Amino acid sequence: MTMQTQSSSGPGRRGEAWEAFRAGIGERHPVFVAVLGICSTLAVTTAVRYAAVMAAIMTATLLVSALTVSLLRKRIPPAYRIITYLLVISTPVILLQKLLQLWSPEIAASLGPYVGLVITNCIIMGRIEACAALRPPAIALADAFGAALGYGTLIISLAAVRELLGTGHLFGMACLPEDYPSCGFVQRPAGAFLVLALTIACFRWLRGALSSEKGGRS
Amino acid sequence: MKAFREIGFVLVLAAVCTLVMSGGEVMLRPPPGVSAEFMMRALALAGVSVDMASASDRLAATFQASFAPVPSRTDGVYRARRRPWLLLCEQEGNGMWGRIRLFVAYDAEAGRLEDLGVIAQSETPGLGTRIAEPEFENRFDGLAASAGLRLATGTPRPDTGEVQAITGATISCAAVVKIADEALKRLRK
Repeated sequence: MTMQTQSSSGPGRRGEAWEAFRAGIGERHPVFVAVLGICSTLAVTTAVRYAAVMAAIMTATLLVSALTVSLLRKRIPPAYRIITYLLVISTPVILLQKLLQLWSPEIAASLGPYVGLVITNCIIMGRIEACAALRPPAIALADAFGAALGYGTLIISLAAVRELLGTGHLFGMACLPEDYPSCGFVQRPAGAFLVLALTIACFRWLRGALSSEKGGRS
Repeated sequence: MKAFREIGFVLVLAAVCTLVMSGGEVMLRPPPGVSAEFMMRALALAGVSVDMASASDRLAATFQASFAPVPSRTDGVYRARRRPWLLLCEQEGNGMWGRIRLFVAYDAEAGRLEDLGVIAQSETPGLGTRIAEPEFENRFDGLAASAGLRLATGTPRPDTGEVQAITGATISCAAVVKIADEALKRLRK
């Protein structure tokens, strides 16, 4: 990835921050384009509320880690950068895990080890290594928020499809007729892979169609 | 010199992160009280059947009908109403990776452990997590507890409060024994 030259002026930096944010939900989407964070994407999308909690935890962790690394970027020794990132990421994750256990032990038990595994999530490590470690805090935060929003909207949408097709419910409320034959396959890991693959295929087809339309117009 | 500065930076950062995490661990600890799992275990021991999906207020009412806090004690020790010699408490302590929470029932008349259950743990999957299996929990049933508990170094002798550890999970088993021993000290007061 080529680095853009850092602009020092206010509007230039705002433009860069906007570009960094937009890339996270578009051309550099962590799941659709980079296909990162698949493990948690598949595991926590059985119900919308689990996915929403996971999205919130990822967002908070990404923002705190990106801000901390960006502020310390000139002091972090290159030889020890990975261990430094792990330290910075694990602190909010452990605190959020404790908070979740206190707030909702049931959701904490349902998410199992996946909250703790956020520490090694490739999306966070990737955004820190590619952006936060090199750019000023405003851009690092915008980039982190874009990636978190991209990841969060995807897992919540995926969970909505899986919960609705798999159980006929959404947010625990019945949304389909009572005689709806629940599609248990969608709730299982193989079903998760299939739904994710179809979603990625749709996204890429849509992106290709939009870019070819733009190309045709110009 | 530069290498020392770099290592120093990482060490200082590690110390700060450890402090923040430890502070969070203390501040975000669940408030003392009786958990639903504790009440379910106690009611099962008393032979009272309750639906797993019972509302928390209904569960608490059933628990209060069967167990009462020991008068003059404010440390969460309960006594069975129908069997006043049966004392129960919930005890928490450090395991290998995280906190372990136990349900401990003690027969004060016979000086024996009536029941022990692991309510919460975060030990190594496949090894330490075996402490929550009934096979291990049952090793404590009926143990002579008047002189405290300890891990057996050879063939366990139940009359001396010795417990056989699980192979591959010695540290977690030792933690359970230590926590149970602390619970017994509370119950024997």
